[in-house]
Amino acid sequence: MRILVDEDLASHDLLELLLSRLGAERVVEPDRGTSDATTWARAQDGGLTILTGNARDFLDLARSTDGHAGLLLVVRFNDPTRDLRAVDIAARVARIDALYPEGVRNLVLIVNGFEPIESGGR
Amino acid sequence: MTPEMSPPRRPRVSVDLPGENEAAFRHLASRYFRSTPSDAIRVSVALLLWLVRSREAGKRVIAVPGDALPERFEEPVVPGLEEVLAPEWAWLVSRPHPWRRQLWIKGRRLTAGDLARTMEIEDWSPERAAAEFDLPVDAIVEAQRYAAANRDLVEAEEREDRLAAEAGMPRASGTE
Repeated sequence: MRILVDEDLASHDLLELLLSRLGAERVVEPDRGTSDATTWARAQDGGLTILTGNARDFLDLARSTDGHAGLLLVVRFNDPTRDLRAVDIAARVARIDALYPEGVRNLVLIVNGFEPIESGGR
Repeated sequence: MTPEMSPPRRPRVSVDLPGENEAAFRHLASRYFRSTPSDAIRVSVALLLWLVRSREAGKRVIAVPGDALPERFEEPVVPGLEEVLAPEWAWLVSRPHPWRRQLWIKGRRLTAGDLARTMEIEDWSPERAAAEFDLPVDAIVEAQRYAAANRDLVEAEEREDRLAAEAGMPRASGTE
């Protein structure tokens, strides 16, 4: 699974955590300021799974695309006991990566629902 | 012998005003003219003169939205008013979007609310958030201020996203 991190989540912290978990060749930074449709098209062209907090708009795009490259959603609850920090997101993405070694093509997954893989580092 | 210099004479005019007019002038003066009612009155007279002269010249005086200005127009510039009504946000912009109404960080596909929420979740200072997203600290502070002032809107849009994500999205086996 190669991941394109959407701009709404793309802090340096999260990008670096994902890089350390998945490796540089499997994490792609967003083009700043581009539309969701352009981001989606880039992901489909490159076989990239999008990691985003923007559920509604990307779900609409996923529904309109047969055989899409996968969508990972981070849901926010406005609740400090449930909201995921970058370190939590990266740990759960690592779990998804382990559970789906062939990738998540045509799947939409809520990142919050996965058990994290602890790195021991942070 | 040098003649004594005196300031130019400013005629005083007494006018009886209904209470609501006086209240309106005081409000105008307070909001736009540093609480100086005479400034508010001077500007009012100047604007009325401009309006009357425009009408006498066969022109129309109308109000239109800022994005629907005609090709040629005259516009009175009122010191005091311009400063107060200057755009409130330097780093935030509105964008056409099917359902989001909150403002976005200029040049980014990132809403003010998302940025402010990330800061809350991560417990980041404005300086840290600025470094994390390659933005000026001023933009971060402005996003926080906007999110605080529009908390209901930001939370409603978060709820919209949450409901969309939860509606019909099966959780994979082996999940919480």
